[in-house]
Amino acid sequence: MTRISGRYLAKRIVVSYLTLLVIMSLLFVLLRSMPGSFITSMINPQMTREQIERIRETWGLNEPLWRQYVQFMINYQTGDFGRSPTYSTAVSELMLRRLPRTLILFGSTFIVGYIVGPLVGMYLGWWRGSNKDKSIFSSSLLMYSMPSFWIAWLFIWLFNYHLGWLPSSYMFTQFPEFEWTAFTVMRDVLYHLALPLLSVSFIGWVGAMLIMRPSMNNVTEEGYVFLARAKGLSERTVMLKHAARNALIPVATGAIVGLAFIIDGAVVIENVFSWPGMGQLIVNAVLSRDFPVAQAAFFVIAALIVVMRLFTDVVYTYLDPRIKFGEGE
Amino acid sequence: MTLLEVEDLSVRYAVDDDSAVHAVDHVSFDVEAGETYGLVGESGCGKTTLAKSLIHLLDSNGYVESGHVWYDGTLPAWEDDHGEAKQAVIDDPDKPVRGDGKTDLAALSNSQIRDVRWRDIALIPQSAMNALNPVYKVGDQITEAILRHEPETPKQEADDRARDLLERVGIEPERADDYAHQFSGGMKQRAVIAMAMACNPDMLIADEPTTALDVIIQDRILEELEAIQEEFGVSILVISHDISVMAEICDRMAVMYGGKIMESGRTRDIFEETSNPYTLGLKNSFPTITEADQELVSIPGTPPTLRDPEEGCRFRARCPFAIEECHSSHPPMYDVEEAIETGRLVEAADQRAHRSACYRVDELDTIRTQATKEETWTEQTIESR
Amino acid sequence: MSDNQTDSGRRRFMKGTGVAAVSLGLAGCSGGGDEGTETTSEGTTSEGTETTESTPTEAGSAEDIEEGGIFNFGMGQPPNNINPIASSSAYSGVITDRIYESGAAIDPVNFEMHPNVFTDWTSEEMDETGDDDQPNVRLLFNVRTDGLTWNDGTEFTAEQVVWSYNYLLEQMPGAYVASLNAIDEVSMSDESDWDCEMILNSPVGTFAFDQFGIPILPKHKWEGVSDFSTYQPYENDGPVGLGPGVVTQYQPDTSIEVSFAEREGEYNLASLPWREEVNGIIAGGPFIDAMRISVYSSESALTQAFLEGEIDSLYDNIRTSSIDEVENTDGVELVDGFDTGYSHVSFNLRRTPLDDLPFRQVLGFAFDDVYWVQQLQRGYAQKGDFVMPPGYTAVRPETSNNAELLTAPATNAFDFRQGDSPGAVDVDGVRSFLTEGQMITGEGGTYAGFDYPGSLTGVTASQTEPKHEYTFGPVESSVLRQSDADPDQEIRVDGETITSINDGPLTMFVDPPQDSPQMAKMTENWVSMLQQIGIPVEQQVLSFNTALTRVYSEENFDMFEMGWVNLSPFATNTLYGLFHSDNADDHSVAEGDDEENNTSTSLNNPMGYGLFEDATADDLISTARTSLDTEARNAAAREAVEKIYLDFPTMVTMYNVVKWPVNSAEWDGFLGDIPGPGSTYLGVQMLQVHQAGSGSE
Repeated sequence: MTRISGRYLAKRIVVSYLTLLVIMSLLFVLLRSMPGSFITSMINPQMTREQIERIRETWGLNEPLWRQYVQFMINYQTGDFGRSPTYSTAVSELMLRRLPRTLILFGSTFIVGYIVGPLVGMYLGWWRGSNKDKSIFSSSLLMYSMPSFWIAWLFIWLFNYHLGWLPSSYMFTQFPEFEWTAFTVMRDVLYHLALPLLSVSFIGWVGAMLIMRPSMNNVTEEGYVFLARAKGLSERTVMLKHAARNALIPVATGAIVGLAFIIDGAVVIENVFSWPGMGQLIVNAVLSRDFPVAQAAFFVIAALIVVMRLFTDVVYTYLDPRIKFGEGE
Repeated sequence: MTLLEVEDLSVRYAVDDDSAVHAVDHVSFDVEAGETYGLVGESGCGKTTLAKSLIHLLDSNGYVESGHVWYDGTLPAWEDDHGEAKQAVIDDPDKPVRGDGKTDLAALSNSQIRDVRWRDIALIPQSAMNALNPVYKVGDQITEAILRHEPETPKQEADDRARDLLERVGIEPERADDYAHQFSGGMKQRAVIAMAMACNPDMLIADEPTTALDVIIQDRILEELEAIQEEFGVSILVISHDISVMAEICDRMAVMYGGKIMESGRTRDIFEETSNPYTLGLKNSFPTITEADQELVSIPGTPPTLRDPEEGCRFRARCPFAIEECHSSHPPMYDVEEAIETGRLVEAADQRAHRSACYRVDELDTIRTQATKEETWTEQTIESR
Repeated sequence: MSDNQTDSGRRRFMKGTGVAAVSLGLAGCSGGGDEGTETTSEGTTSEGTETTESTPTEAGSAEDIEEGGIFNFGMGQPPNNINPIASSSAYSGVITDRIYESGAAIDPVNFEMHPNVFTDWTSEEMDETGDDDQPNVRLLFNVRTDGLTWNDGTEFTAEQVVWSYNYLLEQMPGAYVASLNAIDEVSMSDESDWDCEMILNSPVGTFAFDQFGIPILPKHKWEGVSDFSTYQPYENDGPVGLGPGVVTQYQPDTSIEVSFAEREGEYNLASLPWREEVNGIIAGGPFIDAMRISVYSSESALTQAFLEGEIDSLYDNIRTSSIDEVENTDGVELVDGFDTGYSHVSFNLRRTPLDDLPFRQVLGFAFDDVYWVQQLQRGYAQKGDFVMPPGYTAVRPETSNNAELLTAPATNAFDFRQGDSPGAVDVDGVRSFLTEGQMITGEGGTYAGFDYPGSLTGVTASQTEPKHEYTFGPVESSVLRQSDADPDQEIRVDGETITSINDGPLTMFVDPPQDSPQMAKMTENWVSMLQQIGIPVEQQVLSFNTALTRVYSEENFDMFEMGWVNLSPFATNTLYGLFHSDNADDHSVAEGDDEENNTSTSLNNPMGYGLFEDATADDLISTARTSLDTEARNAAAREAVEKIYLDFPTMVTMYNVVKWPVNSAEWDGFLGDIPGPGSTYLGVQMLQVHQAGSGSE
């Protein structure tokens, strides 16, 4: 029962596509305006001028910039992300290897954060001003003000170093002694996921809570909440079905912003936990001026956000029937 | 037959510094089955608080201080097959049910009162425009109420009933699938009325049913209420600041000021035999259709603060007719007819009689005459507080 | 991630860019080349080089060594790829060097070339000449097929070697293009004594290092691979090579296992007789079952993992800041090693007055070596002089007349000219050095108060007399007027201030201080010394990558500081790459006119050394490169090294003292006092590391 018209959707998809084209161009310009080139990482003191020239040629760096740009735009739109000079492998292969890992880590923290956050926000908003609200709210703000890597280190110290319960790095057991079955692999990943998930989620929910709490509080003043009570509905039903459902709407907008922040945090968290995902890849790619990889990594993230935007537009129409896309556009 | 007996009801709001706002103070009145009863007064007079307190819908800091709300009806669990209170329940001293089967709503717990809400007493809230949840279909919101109180009803049947109800208030049944934002203001109001009738309650509380509506819609809504009443035989407790609306639809009414009822009785009596200075002032400030070229005179001053109020008549500070006695204590409800006929001040024994809380009920002729003059109101010195 | 892993202020050119040191492009162990004219079968290669003074540690005999165990190794960077010819990353080399072997091997103690896959070889100059009128050279060699198979058990033959070379000649992978360029053809030999022959288009003195250092690829795996760069060995039941290991787990982002126990077939390269003759090398390995490599996401995580005992050792070295902690930890030890490169400050010889030798030399006089090495580097460094690290003795000028390594007076020509008070330079002495038209050209004498005995190899500087006339006058440049050094006079070059010649003071590029705090302090000190003398110099803080572009692509700089690692122990390739005019941009198009025509390619000789007649070692470098005779080559290399020292296009500021941390409680057999013990020669270590308590002497 979506209220998105096909035409509107098509229009949004075209706009999203154009957005990605602009992002691609920006990436091209930005990365190339950074000082240095991956070539510097490939030459060594023994190399002669011919060798260096040859490497430049191989990587198309002798072409004029505009031709590199045109080639880049064509390649990307045909799904060719090129090859990584530092990894000597197809960029798409790197992405396929790395992206799912990041999605596992940050997808799970995103889900946990956006379940816990709105739930806590709902209760706090509903009981706003109560002692429970005051204490939970202020302690969560305190948590929120801690840097994520600091919390990560704290948790590593506690659960890994001190208690020895959970591993603090990698996504799998490095050199597994157990047999590899779907079950053991899943168990192994969950075991390794626990600590990073805990660390990121520890504060990850606060953002959503901060949106949900005032939103919930505003909603309690609404006539329909009063009417729901007057109808004899239980407090629980009133809170969940009538109040929270409406209070969730701004949280959906926040989720997109939250997603961007989460990707931001991926760089730090993946490095702290040696999580072999996109965050690590981006850092290495940028430092080594591996343009093909850096471009593709940023592009994939941008594409993810653009797609998520499109997705939330659809979700929005479910959350809020007043929003109807495609009219008066 | 009396449907609702409000007996000496006091409602207060707790305030931070341990004082309390006496929003409703020792109020008593009866509502008969099938009649329309009005509560009128300026905003802040306690009329909405009074109405909400009947079914425990006060804000979290509000509470019933004392008094009873006797309602002819009881909880589903306490009913026998005829809908009457079981004898065992009446006999149980722990259950607030009186010998005549009336239940004291004020004594019910939170979960008990939820069974009374909507099933026995439905409420059309002040801001009916915002009373519909924007994210659910209008029809579903009606169905929700039906299923809450009659859980055995099949979903389809509840849905049909919802459409039927909408149709009765003049909304096409298909619109049940629409959302509130697709409704006009009047339609929303009517949808709420339809919703209120979903469980066929005996009593309907309409809190400012016409505020925020334009005059033509107002009229239609009032007609709608009347039609509903005729059809369902429901009692309606109307709350409004608009005395002219009251004149139009109420059988009987009470005028409230500062948490107290100042005057109550049949609507005709109150308009034609107005017996309280406040009612007189209130009448002056509203246009009536009958009197052309009427000059509107508002009552100078502001309503009193109700936080731990002082002794004395609540209206005395703004009353041009205040005398020494008015400062000692708030006047009781005197029987107006008795005062006119005998010149004696006698407290009314019958809640339904024409009553007025004024020490000068015996000087009504003088007061009525003076009250029509604008200077009576404007030239008085407002007692400083 | 840090591009300053050693915390020494030294920039490793490669590391700074995130990929870290680039390996030399030699499988087996990286190393250098030498090679003599004739080798005896199974013997050590002839004359070789001068024995080093280093005393390798640890020795033992293979008999009593208990085999087994898994050696856990950590790296701060992923290997990226285990394609031996597509990857140039040293971290890839940690794995591929266990898998692939090449014709000849170098020992890290004496830097001699030894038989490896090739049992013996000979070379002869031919009558024909190549493209550049140089005589062609024919190399004849035999291939070891007894006791050696591919690591998947496949039989190994001489024909496969010929195929491998021809495949590479066809593919021309960038990492080996320089070595391959010199090869005309490789074929089976007609001569009965020899299996194969290789024709070089010019004499290459280091062919055993260069051409015989190319990894040998298995025909049965690589045949049909049309694009070497896209080939993924692990996905094709590989990598298959002649080395001692097989890759049994490959998660390139996190964990790799190289097993020695699970290798199929035979491997006898670790048991060759020459190994037993090299001091410190234990033949008969590998003794461990496997090497497990964990990839850490940061240097600090890596260090932490070592200190917590998660890993037995790590790549390259421990950070200087962690040395004390390691020394105070039980069960771990630091294996000492030499630098494989040097840290330096280099000058743009295209600019006045940096084009003049005495001026450049004065820059050396003002550099406080003691403050730098002892205070800032806390002694974990050696004072720099020549462009070859002290571990590479064969090509160090000291070797020519048995002078004391690093301390001989001839290596200290440009020592800090200390003034009367600490923290001050001998202003008068240095000024008169300039005004009197002195220069250190290689002849003995007293220069700015210090005695210099004359050059070790007998070379002299390219420049014979000063280009400019230096005088001192009133302070005019604002950078000096505002300086805390408060000089009383300012230098004039041919009557003009440097500020007016250059349109500003001389600029020294430095890293952001937070990246390399020691270098920042050193630069501050040095600039202050120069300002005391009256030379207008200022610092410019640039990010590492910005500096790379300004220096290596655009040659738009006055002075900069950086570092090199993994230089060739045979000097020739390094000298050619870093100091020959072939690898410098001559800026033939005048700056400002049409700069587009100057190449923006990053060239390894940004100083422009060699472009000028009065600053060049091109002849000596060319002689060394084409000399087939080892001693002649080394002698030419030593002369070139000393000539570069005297010409002073580069001031070598220090050599790192490498501290390679190992778990000595559980493991034994590490070879110390060699260059790059945990990096360049990691392969040697893996062949002889064994469980502690067994096989001790």
